[in-house]
Amino acid sequence: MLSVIHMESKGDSVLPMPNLPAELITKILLKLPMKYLLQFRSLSKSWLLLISSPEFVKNHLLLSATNKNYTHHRVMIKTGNSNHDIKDCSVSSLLYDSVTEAFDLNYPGKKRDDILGLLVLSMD
Amino acid sequence: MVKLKSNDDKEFEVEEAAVIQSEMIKNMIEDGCATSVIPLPNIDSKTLIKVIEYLNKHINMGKAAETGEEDDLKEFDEQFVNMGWEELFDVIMAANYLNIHELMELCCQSAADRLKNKSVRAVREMLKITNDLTEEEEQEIINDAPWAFEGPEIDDTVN
Repeated sequence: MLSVIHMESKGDSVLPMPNLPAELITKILLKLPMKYLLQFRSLSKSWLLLISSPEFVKNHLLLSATNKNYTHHRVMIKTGNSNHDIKDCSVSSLLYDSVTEAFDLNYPGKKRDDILGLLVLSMD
Repeated sequence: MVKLKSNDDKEFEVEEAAVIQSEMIKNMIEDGCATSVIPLPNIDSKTLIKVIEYLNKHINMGKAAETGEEDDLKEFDEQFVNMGWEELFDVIMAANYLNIHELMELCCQSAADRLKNKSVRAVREMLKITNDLTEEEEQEIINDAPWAFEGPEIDDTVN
């Protein structure tokens, strides 16, 4: 899989985005949250290869984890007795907004590759 | 003044203070390689004019915070990236070649913002991407993370 991406990044007229080499497409995609990237894997084969490459995943995770405004950091809150009563909210919203909205965590019930690190908060 | 030449043989004079925002040209000047005209074989005049417009506006960026011109600069940046995809890609290529970090950031962020919340169909149309996945492959990707493909914010319009 990686070898294909390597070949592509050396070509002149590189897809996925017209006219842009893979290196520059990567710079743009690294600015997008994971949700969009999961969607954009289904654009075409070259997008799937680029976004699924271990190199890209590693760089995206690194950027998200070191984002100084905590844009991609979430806090998970258990709101009921059931294991499924979990809400989550944005850390940047907690820090910078007057009101923070918590959402039901749409947990697919299987492994989530995009969660790194877990902070447990307990309130009396 | 520093003279730049586009790949369609047009010459532009730019103040040194503006042009050294390009790391590449800054290095050339420091190494004494910029005595006459600097040829830029990868950049056409249309794109170079845009880049110079940006460099001239951002010439005193360090001072902007002191003089309260930050809002003015922000407004300029917003207007600056108001261009079509192809033009935006040309500027990104030029900013990458000239190594102008701030311009690169601005344009890549604009491209990312345009893709946010867009449906797969809309992105394919905007960027002229041909879908070469089979229906089964596409469904498999959707099944892998169906929640990513749902939500009221997903925008199917092309602009």
